Amino acid sequence: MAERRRERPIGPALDRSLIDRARNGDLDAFETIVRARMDAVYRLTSAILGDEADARDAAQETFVLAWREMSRLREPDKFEAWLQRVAVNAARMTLRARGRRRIREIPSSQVDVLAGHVATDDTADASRLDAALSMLPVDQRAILVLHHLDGRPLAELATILDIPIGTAKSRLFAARRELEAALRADETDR
Amino acid sequence: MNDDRRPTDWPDDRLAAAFRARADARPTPSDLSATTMDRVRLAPRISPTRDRFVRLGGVVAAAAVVAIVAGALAARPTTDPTGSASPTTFGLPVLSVTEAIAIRDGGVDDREIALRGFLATFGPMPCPPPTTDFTTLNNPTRLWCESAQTWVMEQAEVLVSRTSTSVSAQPPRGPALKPGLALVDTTGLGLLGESDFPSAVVFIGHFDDRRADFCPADLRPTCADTFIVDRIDRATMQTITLKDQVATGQTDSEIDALIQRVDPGLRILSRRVVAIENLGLTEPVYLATPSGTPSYVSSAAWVVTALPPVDASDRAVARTFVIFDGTEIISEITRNGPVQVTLGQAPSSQDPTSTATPSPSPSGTSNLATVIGKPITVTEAIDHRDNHLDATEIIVRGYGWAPSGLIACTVIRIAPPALDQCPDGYAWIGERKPVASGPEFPQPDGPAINLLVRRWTYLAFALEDQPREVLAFGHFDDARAAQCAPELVERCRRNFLVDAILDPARGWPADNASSPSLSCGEGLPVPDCAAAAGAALESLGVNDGVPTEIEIGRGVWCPTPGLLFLNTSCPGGGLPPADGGQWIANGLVTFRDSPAQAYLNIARSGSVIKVKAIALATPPPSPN
Repeated sequence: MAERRRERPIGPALDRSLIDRARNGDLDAFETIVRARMDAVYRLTSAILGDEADARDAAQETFVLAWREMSRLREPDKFEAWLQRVAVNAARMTLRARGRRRIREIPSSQVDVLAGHVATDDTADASRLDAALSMLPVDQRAILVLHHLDGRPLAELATILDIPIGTAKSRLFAARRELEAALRADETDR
Repeated sequence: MNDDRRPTDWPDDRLAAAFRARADARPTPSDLSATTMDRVRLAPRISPTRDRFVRLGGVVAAAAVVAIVAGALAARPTTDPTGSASPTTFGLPVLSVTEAIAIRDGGVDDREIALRGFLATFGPMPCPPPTTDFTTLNNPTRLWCESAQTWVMEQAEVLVSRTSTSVSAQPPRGPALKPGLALVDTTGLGLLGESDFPSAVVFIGHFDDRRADFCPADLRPTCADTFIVDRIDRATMQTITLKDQVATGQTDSEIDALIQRVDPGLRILSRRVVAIENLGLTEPVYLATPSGTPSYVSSAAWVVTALPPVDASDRAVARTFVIFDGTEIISEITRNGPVQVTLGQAPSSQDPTSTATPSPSPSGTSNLATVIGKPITVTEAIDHRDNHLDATEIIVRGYGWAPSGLIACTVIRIAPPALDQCPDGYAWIGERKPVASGPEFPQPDGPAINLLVRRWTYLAFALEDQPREVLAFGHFDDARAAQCAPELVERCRRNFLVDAILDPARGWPADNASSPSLSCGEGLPVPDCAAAAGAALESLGVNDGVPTEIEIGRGVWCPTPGLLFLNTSCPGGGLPPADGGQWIANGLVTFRDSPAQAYLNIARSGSVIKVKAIALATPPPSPN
């Protein structure tokens, strides 16, 4: 039996009237939405892209695109999923627009702080995950982030990505398999 | 292929924890909502029931729709606005707005177009203040606020209607396109709202301007559709220079003469003079390359657009050149970025048959990778100059001195940096320490060469009139020798341009045999690179080790937990530099017998190079 697709807020619930006002061009209402959803959107773009500047650009693009297109949103009840889809697309566009960057992976424990930068304790896995994710296509990163970071079940993945549940399931499986391969390759290199 | 059935070391809970740790290490920037709203306010909004009315000055009643007054039109020209103008200008056929739109919509085509039409604007209107998006807003292809409400129309439509209490306006109903007028002097076009009636114009310009590539991704198609006006065809046929409030060392005619040396067939369409710090606002490529603006060369730049001869099919693509004021340093701005132009021979009435050209520098470019070996003596440096002249970066060890105070020079001309002039002749590096001879300024005792110290030279200390041991990073045969007058080129090539002065007494290099090699990233000017290397070495702690390799490259190191990555900007990494200025490069220093590397960011504030140490760290083995 298919899971029922439903809208789950990605932060404190937004008043429907706020969304309607924003759809009708109320900039103040839209600003309220931006402030309420920026954390979630930035968290998503940052997790997909890895790069802080890119994530920032993509988060901004997400809301600019949302503002432009919002009046054409047919199902305001699905605003949250729609916004996340816009964010995934913005991340995809940002990645496409950027050239490949040089990244130096440095175990945090070995970073001697000269510039006031302090590493957190539990970042070894995060660092390895970062490196592994960077080897995956953006669509695979997106589905992994939505599932493992945001805890989205398959039905919501399908809604956000606008794909059938079966497709979401197979894509998630493939992405997970690629991620683990990348993590294993990273271990082999160490 | 990977074995899918292999038991995973990364079960869901571990993966989720790693995702969370990774996300928690990257909190949302506190200013992101505000800067996003700045962009949103400027973004066009798509509406299923597109609102065709624009509010002006807050006094417009929403319902105020005023039809175009036919009677007003009757008094205005409605036919060919070129009047008695020639059907061609600059060899280009003069096209209607409809014809131009057909070219615009026919695919990427940046040919130059002469366009006739009627210019109208909504007039002055309140604009949101540009904030964080300032740089992209100033892209000449990106129209916003007032400039987005200006049209070239096929017919002379009146767009603004007024009553005693309100003003309303609507976009043109007939064929119209939006011109980008940032590069030309618009005086007299009525853009200040002097009249609601359109004025007849002939513009020379093009679509698909390369600067559209620097617009935000979602706006690039719109930017590419902007008709960039390179020239307003005026009755006087004069080329008017649009000039910022900045003094220039060259005149219009001198600039035109330089362009003629690039290609005698070029015809000047427009000249734009900008303060050097604003060059990126006219040519965004300079904003995209952190050290791409050689601000040490000039305080102003000329941006000149010129048209080559029109071909048999009436086509020509305009070329844009940036000339650093007071010099003959010219770059052509192409879709791939600035390309330095080698000038042809200046016309000479005295020697019209001369075929001599400046002997090209073996390096010929500022983008070469440069290698520094161990320090050499002054005698060896002279041998290098006389027998192996090239632009290899060298370190000369010797005694250096220069006048401690001001020295009177009768005249200092604007000249290429490779040309020696007063007071260069007073700065020396000698093999031996001169014997003091009373209060007189020391004269070399044995082999010595002059040091050409420039504004961008990194100085670990100032040279004084008392000779002291120094290490001088620098090179002969600077690429800019080609900009010296023909008869002085060889002399300029033999001059030693100093990129950095370091103190050998400080302990570096402790061992001459292990002096570091230096590599400069692609596109990074050698003076910047070498000066940055000097500053980088000075910044290292005495106990960090003996440096064996210095890599200087574009971008800056951005620190995040567990990662350092390169970027052109680094919002979370402490940008802009705490002491002002701008980042110009990053540095990576490798040490002998040590797995650690020093990660540095390098900034320039005015003529001062500064180094910010980011981390001393040991990277994991490379997969390669």
